[in-house]
Amino acid sequence: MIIPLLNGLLSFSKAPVTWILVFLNVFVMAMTSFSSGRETKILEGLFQDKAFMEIQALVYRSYLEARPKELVKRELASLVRRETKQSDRDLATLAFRDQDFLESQESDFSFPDEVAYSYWKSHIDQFLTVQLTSVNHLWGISATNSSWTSWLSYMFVHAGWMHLGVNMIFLVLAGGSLELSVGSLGVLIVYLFSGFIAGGSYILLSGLSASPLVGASGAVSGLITFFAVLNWNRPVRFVYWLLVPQKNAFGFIYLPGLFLFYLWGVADLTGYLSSSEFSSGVAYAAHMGGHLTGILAGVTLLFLARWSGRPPAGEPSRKMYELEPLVLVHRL
Amino acid sequence: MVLRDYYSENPKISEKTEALSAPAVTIANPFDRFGAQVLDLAVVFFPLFGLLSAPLKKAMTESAHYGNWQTVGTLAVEFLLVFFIVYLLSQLLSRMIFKNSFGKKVMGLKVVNLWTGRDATTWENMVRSSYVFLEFLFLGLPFLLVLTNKKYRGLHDQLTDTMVVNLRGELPPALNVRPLRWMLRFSAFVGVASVFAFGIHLGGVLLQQTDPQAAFQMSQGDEDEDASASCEKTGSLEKAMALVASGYMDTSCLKDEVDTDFVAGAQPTPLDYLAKSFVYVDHPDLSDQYLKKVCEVKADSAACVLAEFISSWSDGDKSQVEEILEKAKDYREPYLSLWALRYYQQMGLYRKSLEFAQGLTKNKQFGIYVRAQVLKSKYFLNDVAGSDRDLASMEKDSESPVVSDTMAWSCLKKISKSCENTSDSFCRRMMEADPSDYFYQPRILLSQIRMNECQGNEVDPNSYAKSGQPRAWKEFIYALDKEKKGDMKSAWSLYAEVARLESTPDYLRAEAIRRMSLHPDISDISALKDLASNIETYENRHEAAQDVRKVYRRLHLESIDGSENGGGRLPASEDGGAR
Repeated sequence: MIIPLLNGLLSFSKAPVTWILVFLNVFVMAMTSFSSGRETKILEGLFQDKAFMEIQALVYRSYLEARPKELVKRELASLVRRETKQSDRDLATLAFRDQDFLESQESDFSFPDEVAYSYWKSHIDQFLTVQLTSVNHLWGISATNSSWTSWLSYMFVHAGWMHLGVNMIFLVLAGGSLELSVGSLGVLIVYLFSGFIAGGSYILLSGLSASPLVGASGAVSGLITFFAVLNWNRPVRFVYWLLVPQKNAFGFIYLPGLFLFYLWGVADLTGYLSSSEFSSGVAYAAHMGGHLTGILAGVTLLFLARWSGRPPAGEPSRKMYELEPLVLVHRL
Repeated sequence: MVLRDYYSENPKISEKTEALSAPAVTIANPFDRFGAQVLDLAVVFFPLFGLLSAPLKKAMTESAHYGNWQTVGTLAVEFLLVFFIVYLLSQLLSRMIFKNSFGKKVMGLKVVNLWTGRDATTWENMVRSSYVFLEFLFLGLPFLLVLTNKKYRGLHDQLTDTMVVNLRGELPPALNVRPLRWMLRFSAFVGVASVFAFGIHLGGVLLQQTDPQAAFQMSQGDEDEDASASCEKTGSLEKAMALVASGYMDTSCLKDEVDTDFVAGAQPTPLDYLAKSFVYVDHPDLSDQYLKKVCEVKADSAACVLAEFISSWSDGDKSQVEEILEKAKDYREPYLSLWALRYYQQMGLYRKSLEFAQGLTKNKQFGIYVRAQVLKSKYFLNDVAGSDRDLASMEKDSESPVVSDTMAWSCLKKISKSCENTSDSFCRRMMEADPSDYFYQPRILLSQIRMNECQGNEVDPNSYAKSGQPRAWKEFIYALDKEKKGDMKSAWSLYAEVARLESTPDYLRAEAIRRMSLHPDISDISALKDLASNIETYENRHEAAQDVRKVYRRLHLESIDGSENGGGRLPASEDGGAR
């Protein structure tokens, strides 16, 4: 287990913007958990309704078959061709991401089973009604809402407490440490800008979907990478524990800052390359946008610092730096 | 400086290791080496491996998703190859950047040549890493050999003439406490790692529970494929509907038969909609919508008659059902006749059921079912000899579960009348049957238990239980076991549970009530009456009512000294007093 501690938890006076962002995210989550819970419950009900899912697969198959081939994604076309139980399940699941399909009318394509269609339609209409009032859809980026305001608002909404918790831990660590070196305004700008670009890259790489994109992870990825680039050759504090109750199994290591990018950026790139259409959850495409913004912001600041002759952050301890240029180990 | 080797008793080795030039180096602690390996893997190897194997992982996940296990196997071999290359690459990169492996740098260790004492060369390191990879392939078990060597040199060290040293001069653990200490540390590691793994697993489960999509994909395993694989393909919806009516086919099997009829451009028939209503029988709303649609498509059809019949039957409107079944006589479709037969049989209207059985017995697939119903009707219409003759003529098909079940039924009927009937030929056949061949046919097992009880034989209820049996039967056996042990109170509650369960077949419900009625301390018959009212099949309801009446009579005689007044009401035979 290895976790970057960076400068650890900083007080509100040292990292005000970071803490305000955390409070804002927690506040929004607390206010919206009821609404998103209602949507999840309905969605859960639909997923558990075996008949509905079977019918949705059939209806979606007919819908895709009626669409011009160039408008159907390659993965979906291959699912339509397969005609297995598994492909039906996949189609039924993926149908929830296709807003055009969810809003389609009977006249858009022909479906021979009128009873099944009306059963499906009544359930989907109920779902769409809830969707209209759901915070995830109102604030998140989705096929129903991709205005520029949503590119900012989506990063303050989370899908659950665990999602929020993980994002906030890394926001506190990276944001707090950055506030010491680039200031509160710098953190705020990079945070918002990373989130903004993350939203854009999600749309560009994954396309708009009926499932909304929410969460601060794109913005937090930007902050982490920004920190990694700014401190690319400076020792950054990590804590490790090898799960063994032994003296040498605990300790701090100081690794070059760029290592943070190796751990985070590469992991996200891996996730993006290896995730398939059927896996749910993490929007790696958005993370990639955040990392890219972090790199651009970091590199720009480094050049500006060199041009102006001022280092962007305080010099690290000379003593540690001279001891070991790349890996410093401090046993607990 | 020399390598301080505390354990080597071989002076030759000590001499050779004197050439080491590192200052105050000691033999590395195996646990530090283990930690170094973990750090190497977690920090350097896995991010790189993840990135380089991402397309392979994606292909493997998708192949596994569609059950293409052959492709998964091929990809797994490639995956291992990539693992090997990336492992070597990560070691090489690590040495280029840190002049040592990352983990060893953190833990203060170094690999040296055993004979020269100098740092192992890149080539030596690569060969050593290749051996380490091979040891990984054997689940890392060869690593344990490190603990058997005095210098803690594992196979990979011995094969490359290297050893790992601690640059900080920290002493390795003393020899005499070594095994115990390692065992403790290893147990501690396994314990903590298990707690972590459990935590991560729990987190994953919680996440899946909160993510409806993941929950859907997890819950829908191969069950559907298994269920549909066991379905017989008839190629004709009418035939399939007849098989469903006679209980040979599950309603879920109709899905594949009927889905092919719902294709673009084709007009679905009333029977298609009717079959769909059967397919979605667990979704009453949807099933009802399909039923309504049947007559909208074509009112003058057998399917429409059956749809109306099912609606009225489920509404409990008997007069309406009678009217509809009169109409049903105009149609010759077997599925309609079979449903009518089934209805009349359940209602105890045996003469009428025989009318619908005509012409159906010749069919290969559901003929045996119809013949079984016919002989049951004959039995209740006081033609016991005829019924026995019919059953005897079916003996050549005794492999059929319907035939063996009917024999058990016949035997149970006879010994219910008198225990002297255990010599009946069908009862003897049932008695000779090996219970293990009929674990999933509870009526046969029940007939054996009843016969053993009649003959005064000791019965071990547990010899009739096996995992995978229906819940109702398991509960029944459990109750019987309690009864045999004299725990009548527990047995009573368990029998009540059997009679209450929705999945309990009516004959077992009646048997549970019979056994409850034999309880000597029974004081309230209202519970028995309630349970008896759950029975839908006439013959079993009749038996249960008789048992309730016996209890009533017993209680009444005790309290009013022999008067008999207004006992448990026997449901009137709906076949004009046929019996």
